[in-house]
Amino acid sequence: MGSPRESAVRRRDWQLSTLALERFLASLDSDRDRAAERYEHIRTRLLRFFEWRGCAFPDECADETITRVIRKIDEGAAIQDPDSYCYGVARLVLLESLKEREREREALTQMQPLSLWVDDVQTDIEHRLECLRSCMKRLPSDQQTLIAEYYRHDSGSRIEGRKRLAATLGIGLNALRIRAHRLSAHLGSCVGRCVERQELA
Amino acid sequence: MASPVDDRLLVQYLVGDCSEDERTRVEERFFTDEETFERLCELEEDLAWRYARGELNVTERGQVERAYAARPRRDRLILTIALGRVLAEPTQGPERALAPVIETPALGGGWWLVVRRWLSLEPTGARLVLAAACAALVIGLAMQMQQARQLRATLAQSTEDSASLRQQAEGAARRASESERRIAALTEQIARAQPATGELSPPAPRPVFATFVLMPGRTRSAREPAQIAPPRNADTLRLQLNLDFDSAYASFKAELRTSAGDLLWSQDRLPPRKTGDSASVSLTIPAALVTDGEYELLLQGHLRGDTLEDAASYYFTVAR
Repeated sequence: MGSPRESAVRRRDWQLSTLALERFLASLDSDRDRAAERYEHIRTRLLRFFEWRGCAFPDECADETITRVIRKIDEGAAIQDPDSYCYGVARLVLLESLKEREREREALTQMQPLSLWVDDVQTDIEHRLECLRSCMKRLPSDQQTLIAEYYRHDSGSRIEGRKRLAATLGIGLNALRIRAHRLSAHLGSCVGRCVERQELA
Repeated sequence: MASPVDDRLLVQYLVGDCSEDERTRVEERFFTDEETFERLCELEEDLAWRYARGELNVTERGQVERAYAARPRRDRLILTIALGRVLAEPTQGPERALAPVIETPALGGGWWLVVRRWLSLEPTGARLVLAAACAALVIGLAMQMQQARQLRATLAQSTEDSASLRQQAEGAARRASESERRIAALTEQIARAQPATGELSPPAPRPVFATFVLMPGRTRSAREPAQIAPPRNADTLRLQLNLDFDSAYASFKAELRTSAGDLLWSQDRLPPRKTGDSASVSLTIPAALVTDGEYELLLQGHLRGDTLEDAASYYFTVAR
């Protein structure tokens, strides 16, 4: 293994390669398609974990977590349960991210306090409605249907409704969630751009 | 198998009202258990919609507002509420039958009062007359509902047909406009290449190609848009779009849009090719198409059955 210093140098010099990525995917599943699906599954959870824990940049933290796990596997670590292992690494990444944010807190406290939260939310929703309508219309009709059906059911029947929708589409529930997540992220960024344009105008 | 995590704890997790041990317990579960993760996402949607409908008490509202005060959680809350509203609108979505996601809460007690009055009604004859009237009313209502359902189905079909026709017409107009633009660019190139009769023919100007490599970005803000500075005399831009995933798509469709979202150009059936260890897709577009400004290139992959799926987005700024 070498000294801690040697390990640190190795970590610093290590670079993500196609081979390392292949090793990581192989550790998820021997079947390439299933491995890709499992990767998406892990990344979706990581994104929500960082979001729920108040991380400012969940995308970056999720990518950093996966990169560290890939490096570990590339260095020869045998991982029995990739889901749990990723969660363990994600907690470390979160701690580092929170420490980083702590350093910024001083500067943030200097900023103006938030005004009335509820009014802000209502205003933001009103601003976004037009943009969301326009972004929805830009989606192909099959994707419009998918997002509408995905969010259609009331609480309690939603999981069953989504299972039926996945069965109708001939895909797994996980694949359906990944598609809905991508669509929702796509809509979110489309709405963000639209609001930015409105503000500039 | 571990016992399921109860909803109350999941909601407390979402609003940050639980101990570190409880957080860890919830997280360990949702990382390894599909149902828990699904339920957590579902409860978050419910929380957003209940917040929007004013169904939370003062404490709960305060917790939500604290937990969702900062981005990106705040954006998700707002998007979820806005999505619920848009999907509940009559003109949005493929059919009106999409359940309204935000509804006015049902009034409680009304039916119970009717039943109580009915049970206490005397004499029995009056009760029978009323029962017959109720039966007639129910049958009439059922028939009306059936008619309404048929009308709604017809209306939904008409709306769908109309939307489909509108999309086809818009597509045709767009294609016609793109063809005209391409023809104009070609005509200009031909005119430049053919000297006037009788003149000494100078050496034909060589077309100038400017080639750029673009990396995908998940969102516009995730990475600064790439800056490209094509030479002023460039006739054609060659863009190599690097793919940061192993392409499982047989071919791609590319759309070039302005920052305002207007479609400038598109091309379908673009094949991927190997570039070293990864893959890329190459495009050739007339340089005259882009002026100084910000652009988005959306790459969609063809799935089985000719369905298109968003594969990657590329953001770049042109500054000559």
